[in-house]
Amino acid sequence: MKLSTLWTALVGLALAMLGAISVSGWISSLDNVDRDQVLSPVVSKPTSHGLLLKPTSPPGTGCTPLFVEKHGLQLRIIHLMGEVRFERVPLRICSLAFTDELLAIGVQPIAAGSVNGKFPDYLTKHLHGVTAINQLMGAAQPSFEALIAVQPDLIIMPAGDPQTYYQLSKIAPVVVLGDDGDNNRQRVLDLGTLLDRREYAEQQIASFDARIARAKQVLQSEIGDSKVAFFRIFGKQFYIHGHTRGGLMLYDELGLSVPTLIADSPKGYMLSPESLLQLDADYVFVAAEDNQGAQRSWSQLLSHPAWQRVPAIQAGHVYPLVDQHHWLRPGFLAKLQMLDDIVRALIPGHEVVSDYGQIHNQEIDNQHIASDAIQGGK
Amino acid sequence: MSRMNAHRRLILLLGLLVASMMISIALGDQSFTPKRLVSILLGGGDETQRMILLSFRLPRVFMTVLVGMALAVSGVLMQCVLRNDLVEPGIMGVASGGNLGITLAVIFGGSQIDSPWTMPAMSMICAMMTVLIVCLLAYDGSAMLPTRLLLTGVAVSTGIGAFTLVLSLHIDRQAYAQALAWLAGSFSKSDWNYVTVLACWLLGTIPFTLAVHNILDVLRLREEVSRSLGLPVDRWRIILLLFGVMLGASAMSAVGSMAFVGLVAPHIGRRLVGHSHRYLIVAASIVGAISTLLADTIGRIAFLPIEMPAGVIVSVLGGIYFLYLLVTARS
Amino acid sequence: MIGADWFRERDVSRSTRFWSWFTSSATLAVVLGIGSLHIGPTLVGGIDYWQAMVGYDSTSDAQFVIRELRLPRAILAGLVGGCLAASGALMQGVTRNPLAGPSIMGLSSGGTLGLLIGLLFNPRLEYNEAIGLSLAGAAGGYFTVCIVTLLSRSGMTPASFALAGAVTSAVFGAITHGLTIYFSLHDEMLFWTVGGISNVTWAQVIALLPVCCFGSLLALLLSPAVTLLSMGEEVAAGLGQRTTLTKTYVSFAVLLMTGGAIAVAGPVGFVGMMVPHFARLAVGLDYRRIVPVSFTFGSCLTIVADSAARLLAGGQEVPLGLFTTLIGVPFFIYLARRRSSVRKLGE
Repeated sequence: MKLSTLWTALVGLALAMLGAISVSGWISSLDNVDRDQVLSPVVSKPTSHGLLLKPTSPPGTGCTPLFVEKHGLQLRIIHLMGEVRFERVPLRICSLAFTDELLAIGVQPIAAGSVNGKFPDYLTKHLHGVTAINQLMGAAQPSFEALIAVQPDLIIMPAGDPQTYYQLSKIAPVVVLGDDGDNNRQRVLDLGTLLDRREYAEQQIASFDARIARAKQVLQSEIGDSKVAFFRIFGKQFYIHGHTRGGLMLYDELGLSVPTLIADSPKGYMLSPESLLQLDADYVFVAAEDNQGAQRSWSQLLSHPAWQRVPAIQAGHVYPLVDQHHWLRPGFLAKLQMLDDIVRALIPGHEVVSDYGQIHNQEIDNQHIASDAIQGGK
Repeated sequence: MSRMNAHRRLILLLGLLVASMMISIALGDQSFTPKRLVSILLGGGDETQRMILLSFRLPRVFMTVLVGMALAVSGVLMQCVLRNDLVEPGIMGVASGGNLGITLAVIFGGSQIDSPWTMPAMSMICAMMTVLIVCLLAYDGSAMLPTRLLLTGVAVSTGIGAFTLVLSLHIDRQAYAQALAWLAGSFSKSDWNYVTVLACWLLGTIPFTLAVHNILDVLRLREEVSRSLGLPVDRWRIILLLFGVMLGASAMSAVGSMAFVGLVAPHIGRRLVGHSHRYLIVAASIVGAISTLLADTIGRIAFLPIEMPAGVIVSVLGGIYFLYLLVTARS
Repeated sequence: MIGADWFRERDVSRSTRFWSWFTSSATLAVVLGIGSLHIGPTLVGGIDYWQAMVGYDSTSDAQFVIRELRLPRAILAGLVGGCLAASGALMQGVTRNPLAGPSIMGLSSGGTLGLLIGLLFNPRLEYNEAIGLSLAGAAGGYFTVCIVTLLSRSGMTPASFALAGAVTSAVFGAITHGLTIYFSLHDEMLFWTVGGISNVTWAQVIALLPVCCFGSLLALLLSPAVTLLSMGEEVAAGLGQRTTLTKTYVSFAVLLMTGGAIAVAGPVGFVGMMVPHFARLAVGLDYRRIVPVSFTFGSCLTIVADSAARLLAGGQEVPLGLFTTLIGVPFFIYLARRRSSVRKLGE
């Protein structure tokens, strides 16, 4: 036996396999009309019709906007994976992603993605009576049968899982929204356009911007160039966030100063205890997952001698985040709640002017939007 | 074992498979009575029920069966070629290579992945690369000893596993969870597109392995004997080994890692119909199908509302069965 | 083998050879340990070492990192490596399996499972309790493997040991995986299962030290019996040894050392499998010599691996366990390529 035999056999079989895949892939593409339609879409990335905020707009607009075309009540939408049409504004919405932004424009979904039956903690109070759709490991395939049972007429899902997209398309029209980068303002606008609440969405963003601007001013005058850090605890390890997750809010929205440690790797990284000595932060936010392992390591880690040498800890400026999902998934409402946390922590005694409260108090239900839609029809 | 007896047992097994398929189809978030099931299959029932059954449960059950068959046949081939009853597809690095492929796909593709074939293809490519590395490392210029192949496979698997972990420490948690969910061996991603491809692939390969059952029987004998029968042993070994590996890799590329099926199914098959590969291949593939079906059904039903991936359940049950085998088997 | 032949030709007496290897590797471990104190993002000068030991000034960062961070870490790395290697040597002697090691014998996966179950039932675990749980889990894994091989009709052959170990590890790993999915701890668990000693403080060293000392003492006392056992069960029994009793004691020693090491450092792969081979090359087949030399060699290896992991990654952390695995795999492949070990497992 020679090596060349092995190589030849391998290459031959690999080619055969590829052949089999392509042939049967072709066959399977024939048998399904839906898929055929989806596989050859005209996904021209729309730019001119786009609903971009401003050409040089700040954070929160990172992604290409959703293309929505209206003819009376009819909607034609081109999203990342293809094109869908609606006869009228969809009412029964299932959000496997962007539940936060959906609630921000005052629409309650009938079903929302969850991790083992739990919604993100900061959204739980808005999601009474909403069916929890379990997702495998909180990220992948939802439980399809539960989803079918609620009979949605629109499913919103994140990009990156084409197989799930095809499976969901059998249940209801699916809109795929990219969640790469910081794009929640754009998403609020997109959803507003899609669900015929564009004006309301714009109002929300305007008041959001106003609040951010106010807070920025106050923070600037109160803490100036003091550096702020955001940590998470995984198992036995610390993770310091750069311009990701909660860091987006701290550094990009509010323009607070970044610790020197982040300069090398702007996304953040796993930190060794010794690197804590290099941490020049004056204020530290720490998020420990709301599960037992992390809670335990949280108390254990804070007793680590290296922590005691961080200036922020010596000054008592460390803020544990017990409810911390809004720091980990910086959606639109999440950012507002983060803002409250930050202002409350950094400027004690400062009154939190919460426009956020208005969103809370406002009636969030489907009736509202339903009546809107009907009026629009008249 | 007489031929009649083997035939009868195969028919019984087939009956068992069909029965467990029906049970698996009937059970779920919404369960159906047998009567209702039949009426829905014949075109009755409301739209929701039809959708659950035809668009989700049926492809899932077919996928389960196909994956079980592929893994079992892969196990039979590899056990035969390596002349060791303790071999399974994962041992050659198929599983860890596949995991690496998925992790790489998630790291480099992320949310840009827009074809349902990206993940399986990456998994397949990396699995085959791993097997190639194992073969090259175990090859010392003259022969590829089965035992050495095994040990090298274990070592390379471990190394690649560690490398995958190093990589996954640096990716975003959400993306990592997605990769992990793919790897866990859940059948929830099964749809007609995967079923079609896998079915085509099995339709090509299983008849081939059945056609060469004589050669498999000979290869199973001691090396000197099979050589003296004038068989080009090395060539066949390579071809069949590659077939086995590719069957295993294709199954795992579609669902993630699935341990022990390829190990346990041939064992049970051998107990049922003996060592003749003509019957063994069929019996093992049916047993494999039944065992994945069982695992998937348990995973769907027992932990509601959470779905437990079939890969986890297969590992626990298969592992325990295997320990039992170790205790009771005569050497 | 070259080293061993060279020594044989020089006709150095075995005892001298052992002492020279032992003292030199022990010295090397100490030197490497001191060297590793120098590695890290905070710069330290020569005077800081001295002051950190004698006149500790807690306001100086340099002295603080030496005394509170790097020194416990170096000591712990040495202890962990030594424990794993010594228990690996014991296991290889008793099972006569050249590939035996903690990760193959179901100890690592058992320890992880034990820790996870403990965390689920009692989130407010103290450190020592956590170590206890890991130990209990490792014991569970190890005894499962032992019981399966004892009960198996084919007897305690190296092959059946290896198999039972691999399968038990797989089952325990799968149960761990299932639990993490059920309690949605999956992304968290990654950071528990990979070995890491980055966060150690003196508390961990103090917790491990007695376990380790007792375990290694036991290992030393047992090593003559293990030497006999390694020649074959019949030989040992013929010479009047109560083999089952010896095996029980060995199991206990292995559990203490490996379980303790795994509890503080997580699974650290391949050290226990790899090091005894080097020790055997150096000092021959007598376990009275292999065990102590394995201990010092193992310490050297983990200290080097830990330093390298710190050097390569800068301020970030590469878990120690992954690093040793990546070193160990080529060695394992090398072993597999040697015909002798292949034949031994293939029987």
